[in-house]
Amino acid sequence: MGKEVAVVLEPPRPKSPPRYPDLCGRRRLQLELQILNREFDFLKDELQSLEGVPPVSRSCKEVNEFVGTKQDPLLPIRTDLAIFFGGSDQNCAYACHGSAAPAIACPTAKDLAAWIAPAAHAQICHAASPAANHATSPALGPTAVHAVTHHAASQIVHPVVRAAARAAICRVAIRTVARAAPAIHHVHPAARAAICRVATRTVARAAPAIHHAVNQTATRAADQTVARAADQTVARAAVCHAANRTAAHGGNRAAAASRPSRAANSSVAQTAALAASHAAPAATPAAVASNAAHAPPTAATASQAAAVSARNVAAARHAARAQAASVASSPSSAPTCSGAAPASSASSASPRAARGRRPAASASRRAVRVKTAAAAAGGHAAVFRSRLALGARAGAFGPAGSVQKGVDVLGAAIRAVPLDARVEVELDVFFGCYFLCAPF
Amino acid sequence: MASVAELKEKHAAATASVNSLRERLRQRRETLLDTDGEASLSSPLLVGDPLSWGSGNSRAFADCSVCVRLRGAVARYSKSQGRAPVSFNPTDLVCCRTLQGHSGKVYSLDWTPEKNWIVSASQDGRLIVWNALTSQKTHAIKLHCPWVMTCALAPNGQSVACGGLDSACSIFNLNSQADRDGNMPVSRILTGHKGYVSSCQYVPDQETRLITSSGDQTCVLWDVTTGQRISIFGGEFPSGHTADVQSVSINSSNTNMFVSGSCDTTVRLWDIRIASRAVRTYHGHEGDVNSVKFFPDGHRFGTGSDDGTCRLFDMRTGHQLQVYSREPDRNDNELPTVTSIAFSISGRLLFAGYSNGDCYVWDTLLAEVVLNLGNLQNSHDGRISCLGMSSDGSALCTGSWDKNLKIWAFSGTRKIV
Repeated sequence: MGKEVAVVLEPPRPKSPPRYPDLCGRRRLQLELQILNREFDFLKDELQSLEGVPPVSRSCKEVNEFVGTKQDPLLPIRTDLAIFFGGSDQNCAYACHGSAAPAIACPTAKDLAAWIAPAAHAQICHAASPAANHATSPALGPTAVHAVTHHAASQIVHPVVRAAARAAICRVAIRTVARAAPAIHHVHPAARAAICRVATRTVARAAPAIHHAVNQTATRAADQTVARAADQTVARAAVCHAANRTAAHGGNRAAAASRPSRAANSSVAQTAALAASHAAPAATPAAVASNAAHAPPTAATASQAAAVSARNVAAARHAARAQAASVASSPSSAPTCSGAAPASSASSASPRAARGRRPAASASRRAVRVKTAAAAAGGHAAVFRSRLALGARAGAFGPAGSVQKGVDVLGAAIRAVPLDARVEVELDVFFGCYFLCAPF
Repeated sequence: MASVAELKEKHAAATASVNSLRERLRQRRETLLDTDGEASLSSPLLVGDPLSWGSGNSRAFADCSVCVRLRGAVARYSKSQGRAPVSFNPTDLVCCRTLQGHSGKVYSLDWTPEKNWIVSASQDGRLIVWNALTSQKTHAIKLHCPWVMTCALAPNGQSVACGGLDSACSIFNLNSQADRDGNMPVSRILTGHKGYVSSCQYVPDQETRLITSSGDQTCVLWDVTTGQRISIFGGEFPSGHTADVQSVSINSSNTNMFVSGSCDTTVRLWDIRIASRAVRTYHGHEGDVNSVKFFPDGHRFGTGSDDGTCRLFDMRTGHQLQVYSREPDRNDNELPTVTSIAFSISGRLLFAGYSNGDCYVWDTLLAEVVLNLGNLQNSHDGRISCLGMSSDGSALCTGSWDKNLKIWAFSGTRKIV
């Protein structure tokens, strides 16, 4: 039938570059002489410039020194903490999974805080991830998470880091349980009692560690940095554990199925409100409530998502009121936004929230989506701030893993991702920020 | 008027003067080579016509002991300091994205400083702007001239520039609406080069300034808003390149300085405020210099060449600090040429793409190959034509003649002690 005709595109033919005129004889010699004289002048200038030029070793030294000063997400990490404090090898000072902290090229640990945080975080993450998973098993007691993370911190080589990490974990455990109590006020009394027992045991274990930490040379900044790092993973694990344990303790299966989602949903509402607080400017609670309709789209999105996923409006209201009451006494202004926003969003969404039921797992996923949507709209500012707070540098591509398949068009996570994936780190940060904003 | 005989006499005298000066220069540089504590002089090997010294300098040194020591100053120093080598497991760096969409060879790519967007240029006559995180294409721009050789994204990510065999640089505003045929209109065409545009780069933090390199042996600084040339670097008589210029790299630490690599085997340093002559000329390569990139500290720069080597030069002193040369193929095949290079954000790693599809990861300090991305799973099937590092240093993008782009990131495990 028809023949296929191949169309060959002729490439454009630009003008040839200018060439020296094709001279011969005298003119050519004159031209070459000019070139030689010019070359002589350039060489003379170059020879003069070499006077006072430092030797090659100086350049080599500068290159060596510079290479050790910047975090490099593409370099393999060695996490021997002993090297951090005085080791001669400048290649191995990174201690956070999928990310890097700057290598120390100096024999003195002058920036102690920044190095402790990634190291402690690595240890905590490494231990807390399986602990959080295993917390769903009824065979393990409620102390599983805290015990494991406490043990993990004990494995840190350096005594200062170890003590600080253990103290931070214990403090977080106390705060976590205390904070969880109001949110799960409606929970089965047996579960509540179990959680209080956890708190008691944890405090008893914490006392010597805290005392030890206080007497160490760790700076206050280091302590706070470690606490923030510990907050992220342990707090998340505790919330998950609290939600799952309420389901395990509930006598009425249907009621129990609703309770963890309430607990989770209250967390979701509060974390979504945190997203709103990140997007909206800091303001008084009254201003935020009255301006809720004028908040940036991310705040509205966060509030709506929280409303849809919250199945028990009364529990959300109660948690928000408790939160607002505690936050009102806090000196910082930012948390006041998180306290007021849930109240306004919960009240406006009550008819919608009364409809339907969603499992806790999808509520968690929605929290992830809310967070990533808010972060995307906010230009990842919150995420980067958190990364900086960690002293860790993962970069946008962090641990490559299976990130590609877990994101949708907007870059938001569309399904649960592994605990050690980059998105999980951000999730930890997000929950960690929630706990940081609320006072103890 | 001087006779021909007198001119020949002057020519011979000038030749001898130039040779002598070159020798003094070589000796002076040798005395500065102190990385191993030994500085000795060896007899110079001058070759023939001094006019060929631009490329003959290194050939003269090829077999002498001084040259051997000159080739590895950084590595010797690093080893003397007890620097431990970088150790990669085979699965530490993985291809985490494959960007498919071009129907022709990929020739050039560029990252934005923010947003994690990549623009790529291909022989299929299109520019594609990718969201590197999601692998989605945000823009696909059909070009008037399909023979594109280079592309660049503006610092604010709002516009792209490209150039090629049309001897012009076209600017597209990514926010503009497509016409009724679905084509994005060109917002500005920068004309003036008398040869093909081989490379272009926006001046960091300045969306209105662009530097191009060309087959007409010059580099040009443009004002994008007016389309006017601000300065021309090189040309016939000023101390410019004497062959096609293949690549430019602007110093992000001092945006007044940039380097250009040329087919005349030299690299030249330019100050955009002084277009009349190059600040310094760097000799060493034995073939076309295809790629130049500043070291992250802004005081050194790396080069990749048709001679199969990468080199590290000190910008201020002119010292050649290190040569990164691969072993010759056992089959005596021609040594693959270096097409493009990139440094990791710390400078510890040097990524070099080769014409045979290899992508070596060099330990900059020890001059050892620590990994070959070309041997990893899911690597390119053809020549790697371009490389680019993301602004946060967490990912490397490679473009290839296999029509794909790939993004590589770290996904290794850590041993916690």
